[in-house]
Amino acid sequence: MHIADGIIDTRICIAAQVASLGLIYLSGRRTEADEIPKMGITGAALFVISLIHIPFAGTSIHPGLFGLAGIILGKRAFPVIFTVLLFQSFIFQHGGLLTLGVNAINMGAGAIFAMLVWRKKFLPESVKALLAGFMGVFIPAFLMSVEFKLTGYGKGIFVIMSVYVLAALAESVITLTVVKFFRKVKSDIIN
Amino acid sequence: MKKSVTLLVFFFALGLFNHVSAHGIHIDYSFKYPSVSLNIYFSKTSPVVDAEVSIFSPGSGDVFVSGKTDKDGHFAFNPDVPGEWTVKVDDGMGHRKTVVIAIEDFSDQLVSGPVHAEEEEAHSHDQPQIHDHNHDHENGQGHIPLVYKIIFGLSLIFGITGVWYGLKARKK
Repeated sequence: MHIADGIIDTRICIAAQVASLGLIYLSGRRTEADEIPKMGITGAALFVISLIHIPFAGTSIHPGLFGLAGIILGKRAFPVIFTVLLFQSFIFQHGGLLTLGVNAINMGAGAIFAMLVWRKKFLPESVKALLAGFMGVFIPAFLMSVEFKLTGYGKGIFVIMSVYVLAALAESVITLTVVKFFRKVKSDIIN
Repeated sequence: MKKSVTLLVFFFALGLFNHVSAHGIHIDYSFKYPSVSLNIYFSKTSPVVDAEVSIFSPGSGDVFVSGKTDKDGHFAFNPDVPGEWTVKVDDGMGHRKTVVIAIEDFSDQLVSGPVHAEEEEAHSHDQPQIHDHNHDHENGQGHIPLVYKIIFGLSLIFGITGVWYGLKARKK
């Protein structure tokens, strides 16, 4: 999911960098002090969780928890994801600096979609959690495929989606489990 | 003023990051006549599989041999002359690495076959004729244990949010 430098068209990368800075401002302004500890804890979880690699279908996948970040943080998930990706890029060489904006927008979009699903009032909470978890992986994977296509890769790149659909299903189960856990022990975190 | 200091600390921390960050690809080598064996990996448990490896002859700069790493990230070639051999690795996913391997006293071996006892003694170990110009650089940057990296990253995340929270709370 983390796109490394040198793969995506540089123009797309630069446009995404600029857009992501704008999105950080929009999603991070007027942050209340009470929200900051939650952002720190969620950021730490996101930072570490990506190290759990699961070999799958000739490649490896890892949980991202972007859907869960959207549920817990709402729009504040975007600056958190951007910061986490920046640190992952520096420390673990996951992704790249030039593609930081692209990766942040991909994964941040997953979190924002998850937030929108989570706020739908007419769905049962379990269904919302499952859908949010699914969106947290599916949307970034879809955007990634589109960016590859725009760069000039063949349509075959969309095959990658099939791998990520399975990863998204696994992540939706993880998200549901965590949501149920929070509902029991500290309900206000996900309200 | 305080904000400026916080920003300075932050950018200083980024500078440190830049210092400790390494190339994604690491290359270990071993030489036992007649082959140079390369072990190419991202981390000890993550070999660079199916990466394009190009070997350039000393001096001429021509491609001597090229191929791909196997499922364990291994690649081997048989140098035919002594000198500085350039190894370029490209995994096709944005990770690239170039190292220079210097093979000394190679002609003796080629001519005489097995290395003489005195020469072995002079070099004191089995693979002395080979050294990587980037090796010190790699040792300095490439082998920070993962757990340290995790602690480092988490410390930064908690540190930044802590400072941010402190500033916000004070404003309130």
